[in-house]
Amino acid sequence: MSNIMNHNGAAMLAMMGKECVTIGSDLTFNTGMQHQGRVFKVFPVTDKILLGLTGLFSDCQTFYQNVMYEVKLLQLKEGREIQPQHFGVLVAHMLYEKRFGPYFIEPLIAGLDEDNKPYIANTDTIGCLTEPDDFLVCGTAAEKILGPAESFWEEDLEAEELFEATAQALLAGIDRDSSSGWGSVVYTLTPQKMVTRFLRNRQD
Amino acid sequence: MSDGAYSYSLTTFSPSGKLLQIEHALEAVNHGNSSLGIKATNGVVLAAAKKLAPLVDETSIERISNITHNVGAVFSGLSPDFRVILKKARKNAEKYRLKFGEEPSAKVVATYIGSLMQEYTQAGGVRPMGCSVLVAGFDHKHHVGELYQIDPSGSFWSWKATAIGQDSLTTKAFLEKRFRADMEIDDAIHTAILTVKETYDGVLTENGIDIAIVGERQTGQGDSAKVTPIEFKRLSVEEIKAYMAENE
Amino acid sequence: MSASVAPPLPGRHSYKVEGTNINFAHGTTCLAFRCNGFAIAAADSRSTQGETIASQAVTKLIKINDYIISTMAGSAADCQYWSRYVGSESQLFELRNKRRMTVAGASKFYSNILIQYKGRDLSVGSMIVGYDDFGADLFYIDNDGQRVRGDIFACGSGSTFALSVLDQEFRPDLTEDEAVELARKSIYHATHRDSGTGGQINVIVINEKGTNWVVKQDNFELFHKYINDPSPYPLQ
Repeated sequence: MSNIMNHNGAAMLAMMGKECVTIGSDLTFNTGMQHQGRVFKVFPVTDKILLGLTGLFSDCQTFYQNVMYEVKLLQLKEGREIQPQHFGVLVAHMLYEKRFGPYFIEPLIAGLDEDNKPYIANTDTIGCLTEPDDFLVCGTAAEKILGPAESFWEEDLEAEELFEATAQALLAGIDRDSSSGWGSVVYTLTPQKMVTRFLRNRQD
Repeated sequence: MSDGAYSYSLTTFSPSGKLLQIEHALEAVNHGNSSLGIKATNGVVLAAAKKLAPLVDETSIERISNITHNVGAVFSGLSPDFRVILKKARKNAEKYRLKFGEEPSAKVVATYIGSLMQEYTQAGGVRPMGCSVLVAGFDHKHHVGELYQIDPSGSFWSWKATAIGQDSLTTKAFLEKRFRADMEIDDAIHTAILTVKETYDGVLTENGIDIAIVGERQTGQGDSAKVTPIEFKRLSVEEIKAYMAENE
Repeated sequence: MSASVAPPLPGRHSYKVEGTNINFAHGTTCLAFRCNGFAIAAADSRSTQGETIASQAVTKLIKINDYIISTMAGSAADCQYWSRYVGSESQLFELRNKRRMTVAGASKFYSNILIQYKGRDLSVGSMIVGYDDFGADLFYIDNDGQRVRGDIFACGSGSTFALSVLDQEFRPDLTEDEAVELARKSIYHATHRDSGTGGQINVIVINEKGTNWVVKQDNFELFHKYINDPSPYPLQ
């Protein structure tokens, strides 16, 4: 709790399925050991890219604004939407620009590209990009979600199954982390639509 | 004050609303070696005449240059000025790739060169660029070629086919007659050679012309049809020689 | 005693092995208060190791005997062992003296042990709550040797939240039912707001008939009872 990365608390998980991705997050906003309220930690970038931000929430908000500046500028200049793969590089690039005075955030990216190929990625605070093809965890509950996620995830899950795996892994992880919880939300992204679902959570 | 007085200060409009230094820069372009670009169905062709003193080693002269793997440019006018543009455009393209993880499109490159040229018409202590540039690229996603012209004023626009430099009016008129919307890269190369030949003093050899292409090549028919991208590349002297032989 | 074996000096030698204690001091909420004719002890059930929840089902209300409860904060092992020790001493006291040990007596005895071990890294913060011949009584003791009598105590990371609720409605003339509800509500709000507090809410009433465990409820069960607007977002 003395660590600035854990000050606000978060649990986040992204999973990759067959032409779909999910991203799940808790809602709590802590200051140290106090639950202050609920906030959304997953932000829309385009219709098909979501950006989850864990770490110091004020840095999350600032970083989101800065990254959207770049995304919108690209939209205006080139008349096209940024693709998830390129968004990943952009995020990594922007974080490394602050290598010696970093944002205290760990971002998680989930999206579908123009061919509806699923993409998930995350970086550390200074922009080391990892692009796995299964799932990713983030936040104070990261280690606690990792185990359940490992056992629930399978290759080529359909959207509904993927949602179920994400939700179960997230809830299991949150219940072992004192710094996250207070409700959670899972976004399921398919080529047709994005579905937002809130989960029943312990409230302690 | 005579009109001539305005022509020395770069940032002063003449009473007739012109920036005369820019017009002079365009004059420098019109004295340069001629260059042309042609959009084909499956790519873009750039060509440039190399009119040199007899003892110059032609093989050392590159009129056409790569900016990225898929975007290249040719110029007419002052070659040292183009080298500055090329250096900055290449750097900018690398910066873009570093930031977004992909290469910029020809449009992005052309926009950048346009901004650069404009800056040199307004900034202090500089003069306008003495060259016009043709930028060629290929959009592999939508399978369309891109061809842009940028002038020393900074204005830029897109062509199906165009020419800049010496005799550009004649050359453009020739292209208007020769251009076909259904030309493929090979046809466009032949047209390019014919067009350069049209205004070339003396006998045009494979050493007197620079040619580059970018686009894609389709092989096979029906189900076995395959599209292979062609990166922006200058043709070798041998390749040019072969094309010229076909033209005979 | 051999002269060559000197006892370790306080502060110079530590018996504490890092990481071996499950430390409740930072994450817990315990409260106790007394009214006319009875006393209440209440606590949550969460145990944390750092930010990780080690257990959601820990018993932090320890019976010293049928009439005295000690609440647990600090090192679980220290609290459990010495509460048990005081319990067995209170049993011996009863056999020897044909009367129950008073709450004051038990807490004084406990406190004396803690004073003996002062400076040797025992970690105990406890409310001793009970009912004796003089009525309901309540003491707070800790490993510094402090021992204070009072009407209301709360300790642990969530104690501020619990006290906020408790102070609003506390009166010495509360009925048992009112007092139990107040204790439950106080602990519940601590579980809700404090990340170190959670799991179940436990409440024990101690009166002339002895100790009576009256509440053992999960936080989530009470969430719907106490929070009118549970969440601005629809729950699945």
